[in-house]
Amino acid sequence: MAGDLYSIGLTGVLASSAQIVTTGQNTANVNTEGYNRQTTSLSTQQNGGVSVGTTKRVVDEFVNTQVRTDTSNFNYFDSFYQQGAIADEIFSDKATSLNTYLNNAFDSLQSVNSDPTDIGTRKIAYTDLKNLVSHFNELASFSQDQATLVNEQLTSNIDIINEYASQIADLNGKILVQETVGGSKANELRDNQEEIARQISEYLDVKISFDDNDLMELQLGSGQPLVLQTSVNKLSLSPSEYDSTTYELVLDFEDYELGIDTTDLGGSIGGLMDYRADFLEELDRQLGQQAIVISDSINQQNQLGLDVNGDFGKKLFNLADISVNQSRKNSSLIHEVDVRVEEGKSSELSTDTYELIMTSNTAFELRSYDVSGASTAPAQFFDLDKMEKTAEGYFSIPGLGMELRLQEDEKVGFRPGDTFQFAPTSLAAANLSLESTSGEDLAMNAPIQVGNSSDNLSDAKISISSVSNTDPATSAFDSEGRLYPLAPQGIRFTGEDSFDVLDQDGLILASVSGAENYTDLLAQAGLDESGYDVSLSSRPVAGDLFTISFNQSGRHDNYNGRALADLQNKALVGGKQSFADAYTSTVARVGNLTNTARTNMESSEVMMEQSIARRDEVSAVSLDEEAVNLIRYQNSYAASSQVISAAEKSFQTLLNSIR
Amino acid sequence: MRVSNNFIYNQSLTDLTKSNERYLQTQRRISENTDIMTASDDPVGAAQVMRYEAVNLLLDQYSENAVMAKNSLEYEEVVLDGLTDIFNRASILLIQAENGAYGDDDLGAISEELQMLTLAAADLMNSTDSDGSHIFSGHESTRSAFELKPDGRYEFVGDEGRKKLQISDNVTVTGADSGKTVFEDVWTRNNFTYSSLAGEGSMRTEIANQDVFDDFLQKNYSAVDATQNVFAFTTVAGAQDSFSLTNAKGEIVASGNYQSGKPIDLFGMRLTYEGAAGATGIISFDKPERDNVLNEMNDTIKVLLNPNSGFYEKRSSLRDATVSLRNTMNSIDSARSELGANLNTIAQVGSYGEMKSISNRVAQEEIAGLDIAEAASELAQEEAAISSSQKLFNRLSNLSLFDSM
Repeated sequence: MAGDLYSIGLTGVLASSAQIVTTGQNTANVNTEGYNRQTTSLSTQQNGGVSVGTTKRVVDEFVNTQVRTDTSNFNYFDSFYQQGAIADEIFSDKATSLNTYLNNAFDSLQSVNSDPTDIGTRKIAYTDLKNLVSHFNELASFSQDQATLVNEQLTSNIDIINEYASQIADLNGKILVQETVGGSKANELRDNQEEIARQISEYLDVKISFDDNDLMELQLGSGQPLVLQTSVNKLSLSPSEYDSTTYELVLDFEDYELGIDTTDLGGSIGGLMDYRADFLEELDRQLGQQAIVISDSINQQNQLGLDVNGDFGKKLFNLADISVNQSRKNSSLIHEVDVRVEEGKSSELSTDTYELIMTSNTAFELRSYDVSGASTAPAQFFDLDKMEKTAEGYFSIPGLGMELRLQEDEKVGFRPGDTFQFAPTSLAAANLSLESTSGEDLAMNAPIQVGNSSDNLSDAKISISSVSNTDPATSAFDSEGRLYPLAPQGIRFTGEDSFDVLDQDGLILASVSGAENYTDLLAQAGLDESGYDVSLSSRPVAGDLFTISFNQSGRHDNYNGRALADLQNKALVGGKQSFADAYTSTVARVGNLTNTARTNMESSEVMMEQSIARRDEVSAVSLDEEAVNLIRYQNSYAASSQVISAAEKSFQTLLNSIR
Repeated sequence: MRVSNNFIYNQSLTDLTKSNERYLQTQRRISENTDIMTASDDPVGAAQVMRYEAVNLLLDQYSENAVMAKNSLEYEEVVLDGLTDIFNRASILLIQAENGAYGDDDLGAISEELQMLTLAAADLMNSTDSDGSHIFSGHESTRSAFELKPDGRYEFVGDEGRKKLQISDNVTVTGADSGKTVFEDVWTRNNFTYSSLAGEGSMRTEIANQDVFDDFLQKNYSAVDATQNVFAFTTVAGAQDSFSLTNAKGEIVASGNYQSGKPIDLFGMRLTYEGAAGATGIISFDKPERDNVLNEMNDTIKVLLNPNSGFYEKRSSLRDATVSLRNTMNSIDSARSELGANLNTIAQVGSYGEMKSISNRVAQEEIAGLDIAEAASELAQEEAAISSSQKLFNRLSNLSLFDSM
């Protein structure tokens, strides 16, 4: 019995000291990241005493999974928000607002209107237009710089994930050795592994499971394995099928590569990918749309007037070619599709991505998607043979504001399934340039002048009601910038409501009787193809003559200049917004997305903190608790020691009684 | 709940970071003096502020245009005022000259003054504005509106263009009038001609009542059908000699008794025939013509200075000038009333624009403006939050059982 007392005391001492060691380990690791507090379990021995069981980590696997999910959520919104906040700051600043530059440009156009012959104000207007263009380039380069930055971040993030994944695989090997050969629980290695898994979830949403040997398996949200036992599949970025400047996520299985669906990646990689697509790309396209509409509408209007030298206005702005990407799987890579903005129709242009898919060798369908890849309209079908083509081979796509030209590789010919992709507004703002070289190119004058004969009995006055076309091929203006002799150049009233339209030589081109009003007289005479029209201010008298002539010397006229200045009030962008409104919407969109990202970031941060707190509640070290435990185990240690000394004393007593 | 050390420190850290962040945010709001620092603070509000801003910038453009239009119109008004004075004086002189009691010397003096006035009027009609542009030349503002040609006549060489300036989204005002409308295209005195077909006597014609004649002419004159512009005048001998006026359709439009040398007044025309009845002649309207008053005045002055001009010739010529002057003054009046209307429009649109601009700024202030008092109290509140978080942390970090062991 006494012998038992010794051994009971000994096991007590050993058990207490093992618990003190565990308490020491817990106290020492109070600040170690990812450390889970340990407890040493004890059990009674059948023949007396206590035996020391295993030392286990106190872990709730569900809470840990929650921590990882919330971490990847938070990092998703955080990385989106951190990038968005930069754009938000830049686009909210009044000094960098495109509206300031727009206003300056139109303000100086108005100044030119007050005296179109003043070269000085024309110079200012030219400089303001130049500033407008370079500001467009500036804003567009911001989104490009950001895209580059995002790509760089993505690359480095993926390197980190690959590094972490191999560490996890490595740890799997060590854990296996320690737990099978060493025979003890690899608590610290597992802590380590779990912490690395948590860190991966900052970059990517991953799923964790444990195999039969209780080794960690790592899977992407979409199910592809990243780590299996000790093997790792590496993630990488590879250029997308259509556009070599954007990258897609690829998983490398050594024998083959697998593209990863980027929709719900989570983590900072998911955040950056979505930022690049939903935020930056759309931003670039909206700016591009505005650049296209502004340049096209000003170009068109400028061509309807006369510049300071009395020549027809030229295009002031230049738009770069729209790049078209074709699938690498097409039947021939020499097939060519060209896209350009249809002149004067830019207000119909949208920010969509278009996909052109051949359905036979002469027919194709056109699908449209928004930046996030959602279809925006039902597919349209076209037959190449039925399209009306220009001399250069372009044909217009009605309602979309663009013209296409398809040129097949003659040796192969188009095959069904050949696919081409383009987004007309993408990069347009970055590539906008000024074609004009001086303020003298601003066409402020109307191309025609009108006059009232001094012999007129009435006081009716003629005025220009519209100038719509100056193209020598389709209007009354010839290529020399004059009026064709057969163009309407006079209107003689034969009665109060009847008149003849006369050509240069006074011959009658058309006669009208029973006119109901005095507006758009040429249209009433069926001569609306002239490219201009006139109206009268009041009722004329039979015999009154009104003249129309080419504007030879009226350089002070600001008819076209006013039309140019009035463009700023027209709803042209997407057919529903003025220039300033469109940019305002863009800024509001930036603000909205950033605001949403911030709200989500803040709420996901709270969620993450809460689940970390829950994890800490279960697994983290509490020094107070350890202090209490320490005292407790010290006490039990002392008590067990007393048991030994009691055994000793009772043994001595026994010995003494014999002596 | 099991409170771990991690939890205590993390919680304190989060509290401190958050309260510092809020503090700095409020501080930035105060230093930038706005509630909306970036669009993400309030996307809808930021867009509204930008829209108001765009409208205000546009209003600024319009108000610059309005100032420019106003200057040009006021310039024109001054010139038209000056011209009115000159023409008033000229009218008085013309009426004086018609006084039969004046001898050649008197007429000479009057003609001389009229000449001076004509030159002064020509000068004003060619006046330039502050930029040196000619006010009345239309778009051809680099050249003078009226040029004196070698034949001594003034000719309008500008065009009919009128500068237009936009002063609000929907209102454009026209700048100065063209000289063609105000001065060149002014009706000269309407007259008629008698040509004798039969009869030995002599006919003297003049306008007895210009207004009645003008009315008669307007009712009957046709630029298209020349036959409407002639009337046959016939005298018939009888127990009582009689006359009749027949139009192109053969209808008698007037008739009465004829007596040699006794003036017959028909529709403002006065026909005085001396001779036996039985004469026939054609009365035809002179084609109504427009010309500037400078030429009419010069013509009259020429007649007045010509010693061979008879009494009737001088009187007719004086009346030509008077009518032309009157018509020019009417035309100036209507130009001035349009000008006044335009100036009124500018003033009204301008004050509406100012009101709009002010209300826009008020709206902007309401959306994005900073309530200083509120922000200041928030700042104080957040300061307090930081210091209490700090104190709390101090207390918590001192709570360790190990200390009391």
